Amino acid sequence: MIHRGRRGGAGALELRGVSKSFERTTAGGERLVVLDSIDLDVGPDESVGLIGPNGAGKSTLLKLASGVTPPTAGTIRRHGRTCSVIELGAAVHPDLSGRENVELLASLYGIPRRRLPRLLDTIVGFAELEHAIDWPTRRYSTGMVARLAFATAAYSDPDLLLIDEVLSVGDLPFQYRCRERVEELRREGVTVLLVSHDLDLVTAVCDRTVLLRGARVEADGPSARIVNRYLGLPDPGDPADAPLELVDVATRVATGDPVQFTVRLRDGLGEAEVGVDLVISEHPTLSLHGIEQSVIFGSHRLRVTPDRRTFRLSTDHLPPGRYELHARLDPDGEVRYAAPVGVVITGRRPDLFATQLRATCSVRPVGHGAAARLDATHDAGSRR
Amino acid sequence: MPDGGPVQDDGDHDRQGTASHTVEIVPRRGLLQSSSQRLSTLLPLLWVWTRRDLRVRYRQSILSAGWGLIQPVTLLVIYGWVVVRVLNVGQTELPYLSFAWAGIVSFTFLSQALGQGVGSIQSAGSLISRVYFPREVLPFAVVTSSLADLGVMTALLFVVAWFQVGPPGLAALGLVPVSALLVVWALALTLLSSTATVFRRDLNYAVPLLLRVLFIMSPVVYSADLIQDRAYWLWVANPLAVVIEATRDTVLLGRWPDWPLLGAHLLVGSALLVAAYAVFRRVEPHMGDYV
Repeated sequence: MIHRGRRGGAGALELRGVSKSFERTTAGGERLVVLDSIDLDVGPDESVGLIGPNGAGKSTLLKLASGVTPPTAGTIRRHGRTCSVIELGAAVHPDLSGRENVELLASLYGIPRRRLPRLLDTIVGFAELEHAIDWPTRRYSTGMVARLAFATAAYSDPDLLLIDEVLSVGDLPFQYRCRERVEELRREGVTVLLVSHDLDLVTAVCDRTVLLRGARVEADGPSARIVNRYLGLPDPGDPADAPLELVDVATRVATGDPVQFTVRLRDGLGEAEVGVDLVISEHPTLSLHGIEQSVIFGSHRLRVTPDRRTFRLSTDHLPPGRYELHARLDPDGEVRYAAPVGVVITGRRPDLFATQLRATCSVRPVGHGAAARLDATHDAGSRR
Repeated sequence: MPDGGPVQDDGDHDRQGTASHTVEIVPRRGLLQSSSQRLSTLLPLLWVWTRRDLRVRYRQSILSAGWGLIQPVTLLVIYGWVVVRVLNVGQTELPYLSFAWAGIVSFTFLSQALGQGVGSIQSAGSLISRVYFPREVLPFAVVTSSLADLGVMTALLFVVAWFQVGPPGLAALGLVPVSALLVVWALALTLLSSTATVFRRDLNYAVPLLLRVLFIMSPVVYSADLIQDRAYWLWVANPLAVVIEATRDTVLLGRWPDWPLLGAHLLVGSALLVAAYAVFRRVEPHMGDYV
């Protein structure tokens, strides 16, 4: 089993005015600015996505955070033990066996040698390479090498996990297991910073996303909103589009726990009658039977006043899965929806259940509007 | 190169460390400040990488570890027989095999460590630009894995010497400080050259050439008298020549080595190693940007 000594939000990262530039080797002599005075806080127990076009500085930021390269200016503070999960096929020697390479990778990830013998079976099992562990890795496919490297990193007991575009390696079942493992680590309190072009993945794994463009932080906020902004889609939480907002929904609740959420009205409306629907959306097992979407909570009429904005809906009859919470405002009989928010209900044994579900069907997230909490403090900043 | 480099943290590898610690990546502090912590992370890593180098070295080759002996033996035959016997230069009183082998042992070690070590950091570029670990482990592991060959060749030297000149005397213990001198110089030169190669690749080409020059200038296959008579200072200043001569003294002739000379070289070599390490730590943070 994996070692769990101290857990509970030990990992954190803080960037203050961090810049990185390179001297151009070509004529001209101007400096190539890769990152320009970045301020970024990744708090304990947070999961933050990092997106942006090629050359925006995402990977460089991760390299700075891992200490591979120094900033040109600014300070980086890092709390907790860090593990960089990056494409580490380079560390794998083709003439050595899988087992020997795990030993090598483990030393790079800082796994103590005395812990390795017990950990080896877990790592090899996770990578599903039991049959090939004594082959020279020359005979491995690219995916197998990547699996070996990720599996070792995933069990290196980090506080802060820096992931660069590696969860999309390996075959589909392995990708699901990687996702599961990242979520499991998150539940253990590991802080995650994830760089990816897979926006669905970012939305699913990260509460918060930072959009880098042109060496600067262009936007920082809830994943769904930032991803939509990156894609040029309308901002689901934009107060200009909807008079009503769902703020601060507890996105991950166990079966039986009430879903707690806050509804906020646009300034000036003051008080209103609000309908809230909990909707099944893309629930894997149900969509197999042809049910794409169904309202299972009905319309809960809630009275939103300046004093009362927090509500609870009990969810004890809901099986584990991914749901959408819709808030609806219909003062004139005209239904206007605000942003749907994804809610994940986990079971008593969430790993097992989720793995089974995901292994049997191809799951697309609820769309880019799904996931995470809407954070009111970022509203103004993310408006165009 | 950008100035004001930060201190690299050792936290990633400090698994036995305190429950939680904060790492601040800021302008650098003193060299010795984190050295003891660094050593505790370096040694386990060095062990793993040395084993890797040893495993990898002759794998997938038919003669495998045999190559460790074939190379020095070939050198010995070509240079020893042609230069010494055919051209009749630098004859010696000692049986030739023991005599030349005593020189080949040290030279082979140094040339293996330096020849493979010079590119050790640069060739691991895709690794060091991705994950942080104490990078000095790369050149150091080349030296430590070469120690295995040094051990085998030294054992062979004793066997050959036993047959040709008789059992080793008490003075053979003098080989310990002699070997220490050799290893210190190998560590210093390998660290220095591999560090330089990250930023400028010139040494990749210069080192093989320099090794050849060193071979000619050191009394590997010929007697030290030859060079002592003609270019005394060149001989005194050459640590390899001192090591080779001391090896012959201690193992073959039963004489203690020239202690003052040995001590001076050990001192200079250690100073060079410390200086090389200081330079290394100074430029290490920037390596990721150059490989």
